[in-house]
Amino acid sequence: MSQTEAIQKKNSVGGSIRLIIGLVVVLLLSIVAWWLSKQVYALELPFGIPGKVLEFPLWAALVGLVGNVLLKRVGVYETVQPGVKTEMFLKIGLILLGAKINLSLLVTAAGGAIIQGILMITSVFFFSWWLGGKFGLDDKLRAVMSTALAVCGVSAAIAAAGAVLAKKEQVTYVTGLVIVVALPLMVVAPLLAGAMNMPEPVAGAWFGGNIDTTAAVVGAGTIYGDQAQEVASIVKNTQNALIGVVAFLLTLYFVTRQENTKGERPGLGIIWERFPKFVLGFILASILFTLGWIDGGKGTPIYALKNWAFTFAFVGMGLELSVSEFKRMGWKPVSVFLIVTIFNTLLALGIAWVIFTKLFPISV
Amino acid sequence: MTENSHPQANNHKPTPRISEDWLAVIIAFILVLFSAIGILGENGLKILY
Repeated sequence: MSQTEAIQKKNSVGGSIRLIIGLVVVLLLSIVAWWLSKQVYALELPFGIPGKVLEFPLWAALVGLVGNVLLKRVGVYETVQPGVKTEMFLKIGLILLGAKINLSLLVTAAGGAIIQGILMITSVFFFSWWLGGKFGLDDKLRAVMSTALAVCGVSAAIAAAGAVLAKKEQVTYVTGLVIVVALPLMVVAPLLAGAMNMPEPVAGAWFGGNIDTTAAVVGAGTIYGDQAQEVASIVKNTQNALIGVVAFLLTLYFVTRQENTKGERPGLGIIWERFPKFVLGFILASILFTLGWIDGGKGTPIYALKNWAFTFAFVGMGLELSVSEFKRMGWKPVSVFLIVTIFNTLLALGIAWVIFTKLFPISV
Repeated sequence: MTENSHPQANNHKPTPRISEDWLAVIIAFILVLFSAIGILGENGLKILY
């Protein structure tokens, strides 16, 4: 065995051990979050708030945040990090969620979601791009930020960064912002929807269109109700599926219009390359459920596994939060992000209401 | 030393890596299969939430 191979093997073994340690830490934190949510569920909180409104996504994210602080203090955060597979847990949870969604709901909601997605992505992207320009943000930063705000948060930011060759710190910064804003929205949006007496399908469509990161969309839906969770996931998945088109257009723009970027014209293959393939698993699970071959409804093992996968993802979201880039980038990008988030929230509310009460109504 | 000047550098075939998306699909459907055939559930390993 050569010296290089020996080093590679050693690194690979080290990586595997860190992966296992990380997964164990996520599992333990998830059990703590689950236990906390069970304790609070039966309680009556101050101001007469029933404990059950504080659903598991909130506890999981909080436990993840506490874990984040503790692991960094103790100095073992880097060891645990490889096991924090937030996106992976989320995708597994979403596919399992498909096992309780009837295909007719999927088709109806997806029909509305495609229209909503196109309107939202176009409006939010160009508003964010324009505002970022007014604030003098770097083109690559505003491309990454606009895609994250318009499409699907963290994964969109990563896809856009690949398309425009953005710097690593720009991606870290935007993903940090996405999580910092999405966490409170995950709790506040269902409260607002409740105050407006919003039907669950409309609320779900609103969360799906307005909250940037998929984990927080699912979290908000879970807090509001089962049907809200289903519609929110369908709307967000539809929006996620459009990331390939956005990445293609961004690459095309940066290759043809930006003088400093050297590269070849992108082929249409990038649309498939960036397409989130797990969405196919989600649709397949829904087909199998509709045929009566599998059941992911309440009380089934699939339902429990789905909740565990989501808990792992919410814990991961708290664990992954990094604010190290915030101070360095200054107040301008934060201002753009917050203004566009408000724009996004209001626009999504209007569009979701019109589409899911008039054009594609879903019975409650 | 350049990247390819190592005598064995060109002999390495890249390890085929499955994307995270497909891995999620595989794991999810393994879990679905385990539930369907009873490895997970009432008569097998009980999963609670």
